Amino acid sequence: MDVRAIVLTGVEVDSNDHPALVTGSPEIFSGIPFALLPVLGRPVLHYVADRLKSAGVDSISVLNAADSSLPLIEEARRSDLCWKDVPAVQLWRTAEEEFDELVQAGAEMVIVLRLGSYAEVEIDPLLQYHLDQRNHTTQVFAADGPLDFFVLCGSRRTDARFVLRHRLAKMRVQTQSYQTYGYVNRLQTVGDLRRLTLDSFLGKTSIQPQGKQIRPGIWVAEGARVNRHVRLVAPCYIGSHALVRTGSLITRGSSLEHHSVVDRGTVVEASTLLPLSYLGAGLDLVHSVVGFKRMASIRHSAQLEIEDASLVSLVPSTSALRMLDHAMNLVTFLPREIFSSIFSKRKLRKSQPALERTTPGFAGNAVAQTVTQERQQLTAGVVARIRE
Amino acid sequence: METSRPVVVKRMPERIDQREARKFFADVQPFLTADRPQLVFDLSQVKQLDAAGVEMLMRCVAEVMKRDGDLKLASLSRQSAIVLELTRTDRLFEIYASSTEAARSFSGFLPNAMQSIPGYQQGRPGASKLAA
Repeated sequence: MDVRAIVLTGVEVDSNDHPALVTGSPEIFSGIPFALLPVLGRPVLHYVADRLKSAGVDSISVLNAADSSLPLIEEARRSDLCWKDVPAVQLWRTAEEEFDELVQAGAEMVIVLRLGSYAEVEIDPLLQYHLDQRNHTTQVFAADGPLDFFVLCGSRRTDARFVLRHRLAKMRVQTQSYQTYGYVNRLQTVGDLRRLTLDSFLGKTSIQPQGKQIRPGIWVAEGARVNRHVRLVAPCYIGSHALVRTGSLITRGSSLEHHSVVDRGTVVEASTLLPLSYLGAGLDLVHSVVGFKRMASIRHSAQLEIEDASLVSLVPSTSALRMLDHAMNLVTFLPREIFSSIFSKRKLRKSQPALERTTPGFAGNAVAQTVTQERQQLTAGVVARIRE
Repeated sequence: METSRPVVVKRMPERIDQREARKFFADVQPFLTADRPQLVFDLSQVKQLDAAGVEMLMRCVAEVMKRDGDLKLASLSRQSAIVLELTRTDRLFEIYASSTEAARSFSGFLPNAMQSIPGYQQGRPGASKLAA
């Protein structure tokens, strides 16, 4: 049987539907849909696509309504996915056209899903159920309500068009829905994004960290550099080409995605550092998601832009720029140190990361106590800058 | 992820003040200085843990890290859990419900045996522990 799929990403969600959300717009972080953000090394979209492929879905069309110039959109593209960037206003019209094209190409059933939620729906039983019930359209339900996950009959174009025209909210003929018992995460808030990471660590999802398990519960991807004086406490994940500097602590389900940098003496606890993010020295990141100069605190239910590059900044996206950046740092290191020691001696001493004052290597005391004091000063600094 | 190296499980005394901490450290030092040591400290008996005790745990971690080993904690008593949380040292360790599970965790990742990640509840990461 010829089964194909249409995956919709970057679909705008009406924030009025989620009045309780205070950690930014639903389903996006810094303009990027959660579905295109990496979780343990790969974008959520890739896990969904692989699941469909392994169930025998012949081709997958991705209709992306998010701004294609945003970071990480490019890396979510894959050669085996038929990717189309579509303006948000034309998305549903394009989905209808795509459905027609797939049917003309021979598709007997088309799975349409919006990301949105990450749902590990059992594809084979779903298709069998759809056939057994002789449904024109079948919607998948989770325990907590309906999902934007449909099976449409290729031969029932009117029904399919009706569903797409009504943005997956209505069916022309009400049919028996399919109840999934697989893992479902609504992926509406950054808290949900963190939960997906933790659930994956804890084996509740089929997501496997993309790297080598160097110790039980500690995954390190290719090209990652972890100083030997760094303490990694399971479960945690260090993405490819990530850099963790001396005296840091990565603990309690934290995930550092590719090319992220954690500077000296910083604690990353139950947090996610998104790709190409730099986290400054001597910080204490707890229950948060950081990336693209933005930080979302799950504990405080707040999101903020951080302008101070010594706290959070962006790592250059290409290797040439990164090399140039390192070279610049190397060349300017000595003059900067001399300048700092002459003109701001007292200030420098105050803002030094905690572990610089201790002996080299991992020092638990610094992480446990001194850094906490440092954090208070930094937090006050952050607040002052935001007010400015 | 199999390991053939021995795992040493050591029960910590009921009261860990400066004197006891020093004595305990002297006891475990031969194990700490082994090649890639694998240790589990059982804290089920601990009724009193002061700064010296926490300091001693930090020294033990530093020692095992130098030798590419690991130190895990098991069966935390309420008193010891409170002190470790107060000093924010709990996040430096993998903590297991029993020393058997902690010892087994050296051979393979046992996510279900790990004590819950603080602030993590099903569907609500980051939710306050106090509220729970």
